[in-house]
Amino acid sequence: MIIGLTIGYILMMIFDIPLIIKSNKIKKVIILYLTISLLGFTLSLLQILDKQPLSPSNLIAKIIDTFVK
Amino acid sequence: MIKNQQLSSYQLCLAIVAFIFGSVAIFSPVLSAQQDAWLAHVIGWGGGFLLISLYAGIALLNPNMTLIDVLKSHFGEYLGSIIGLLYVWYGLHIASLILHSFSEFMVSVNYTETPTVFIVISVLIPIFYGLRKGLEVCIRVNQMSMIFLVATLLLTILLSIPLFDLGHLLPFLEFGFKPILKGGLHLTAFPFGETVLLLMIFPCLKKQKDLLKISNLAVFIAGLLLLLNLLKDLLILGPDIMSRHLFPTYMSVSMIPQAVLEPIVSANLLISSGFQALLCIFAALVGIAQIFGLDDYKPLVLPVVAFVASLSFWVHESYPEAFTWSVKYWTIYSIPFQLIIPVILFGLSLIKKNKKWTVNT
Repeated sequence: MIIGLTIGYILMMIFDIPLIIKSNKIKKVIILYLTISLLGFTLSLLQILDKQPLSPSNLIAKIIDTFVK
Repeated sequence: MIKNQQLSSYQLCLAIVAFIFGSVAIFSPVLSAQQDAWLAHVIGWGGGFLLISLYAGIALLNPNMTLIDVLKSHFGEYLGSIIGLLYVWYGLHIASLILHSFSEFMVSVNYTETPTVFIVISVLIPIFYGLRKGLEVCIRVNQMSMIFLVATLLLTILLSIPLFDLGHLLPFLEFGFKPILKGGLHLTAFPFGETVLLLMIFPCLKKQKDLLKISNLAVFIAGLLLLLNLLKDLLILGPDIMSRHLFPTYMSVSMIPQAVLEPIVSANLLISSGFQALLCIFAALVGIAQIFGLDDYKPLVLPVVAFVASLSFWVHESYPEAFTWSVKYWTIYSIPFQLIIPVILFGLSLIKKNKKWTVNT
């Protein structure tokens, strides 16, 4: 699964190279692209390894319970 | 990037209807009101009119400006960008919740042996393709698919009329007004309040002066379709089964004799949920592009879609958990996004407009 995930993300980046090169602000696009890809990859990897952090829904529930209820 | 996209009034109206219809087609937040769910729906529907008018008002007071532009204009570059990023998160969160609910529904009723990840990826592939092609393409596809959705919904309602039991509407107000008001408030937040994200596409409307009329008409149509759907479920299943079943619309349609209409429910959910998720991801993408000063959002489509796929698995463990969380926390969580910030924006826009008028005179 991890190998499949890594290959998937590499293929994704290869697929998008022509579009990124054509864009006007290449540096910004690359930084944002890599940041978002890294976020998604890390999240997927942690889920595969069953080590995912506290879900945003649980975090939101804790915040609401602390301040509102 | 957004100003190149042009939508007609008819296209925007159908887009808003599909967005609202979304995942509420299979599950309505008013079910806890039991036999008075229809009244809770009417109350929530009224709230929907108020909210969409607020958002249309913001768009009309700030012509040709997206939500991010308005935030930056009124709160400044930095604070506006930070609040914009919160809305980007909000859009991605809604999209992941929709995908999660849809995939759980599909696995529960149709594809019991299929891994959820395959269903999520199958839905995201056309969403990715549509986003790459542009908003106009997606809106045109929605124009055609909405005809199918409305026609099939009305067909299922007509065919189920012999199964209606008007006794399921009684006793009226058995549990008082509290569950009705609670249900109505939930409905206002989900799905009507989520239309705040459509502030990212309102500038695309060709005839801006029609925006208020079109948005209210869309809320009327969507609300009416949802009410008819809700009444169908209530009159067939009764309040007890309807409020306890995870997918009451699917169950009510399965009871129609001599017709296999369950695939229609799945198809309708796919059309409306898919489109709602697409618009949410589109709003997030345009938001990211505007906040970081990019000319086009298209290079970021694939990583954002991949992130939403991961998020849809992370956000909840199961559908019952998602359901419970939504009932308990969604309305409170959404209040800043759907009400507080838009009201502030509307007020500031009015003050700015009055100041301009005073200076000009």
